[in-house]
Amino acid sequence: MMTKYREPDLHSLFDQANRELEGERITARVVAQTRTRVMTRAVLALVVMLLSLLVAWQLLALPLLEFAVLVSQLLTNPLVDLGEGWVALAFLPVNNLASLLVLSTKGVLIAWKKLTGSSLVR
Amino acid sequence: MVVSKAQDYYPECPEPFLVSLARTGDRSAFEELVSRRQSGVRNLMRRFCNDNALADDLAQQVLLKVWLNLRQLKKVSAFSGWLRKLAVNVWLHHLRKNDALRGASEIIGTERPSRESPGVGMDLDRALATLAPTLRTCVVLSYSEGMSHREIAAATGLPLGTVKTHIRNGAQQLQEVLAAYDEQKELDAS
Repeated sequence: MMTKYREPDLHSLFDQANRELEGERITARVVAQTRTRVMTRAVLALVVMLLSLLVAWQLLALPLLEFAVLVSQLLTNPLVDLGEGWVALAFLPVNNLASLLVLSTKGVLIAWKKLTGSSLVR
Repeated sequence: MVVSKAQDYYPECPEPFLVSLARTGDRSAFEELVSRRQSGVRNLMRRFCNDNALADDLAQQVLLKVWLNLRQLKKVSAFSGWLRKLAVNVWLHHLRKNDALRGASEIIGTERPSRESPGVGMDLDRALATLAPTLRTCVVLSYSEGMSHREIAAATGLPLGTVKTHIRNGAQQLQEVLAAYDEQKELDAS
């Protein structure tokens, strides 16, 4: 109740005006909005991720494929020219850089085990 | 045997504890925090805008911002001040959106309250509504929220001198409007 405005004490007037308001509805609305926000953010993040993947695919797919082809060609090139006869065919699985790399790795591992008694690979 | 959940004890928990929990994403703690603070925020917004529906909308925005930005709060004990700052920012944003702060630093040209009989149903909010938005904002922040002139200047972005003048003029105008209401009441009574 506001009385005697001729000499109003504005501070107390403001204090009186602040009454406790029922807040069940607004609380429920705010909490519901927080849920919607979280969902919206999650969906937005998913869409951004998918779009980024698509863009990355468009930009990188072809260069990556070309790189893979180059590497596989390099690894399967014959180390020693054995012509085109049956000898070349027989040695084809081992006559390339990839086989050499595999065999040398295997050799190193075996040698290591023989020397130290422990394996390099668990 | 009835097993009570931690959430059942939230209504008795001290506010700093609830703020800490809400910061970690505890929605129940946040809900309790909102139910405790909604009245204060809504009252502040009602003083600002004299429109209960708009005040509730703005208060809702403030409380949602609390949820979204709570992790930025460094000290849990500073929650009250931080919440008030958020509320003021939302109100100022609303004013700016509606172009009410244009020319705010100019004192000349602010609207004067009508000296005509203000009507029996007038209350503080109506009296405040007769003030220009910037004057009203400064007066409410000073008298309702107890903010210092410097704090108001920082919150509103107005020069300190302008804030002081706004508060002095606003309080004077408010007193005139309220006094006119008092006179009218006495006339009606006799």
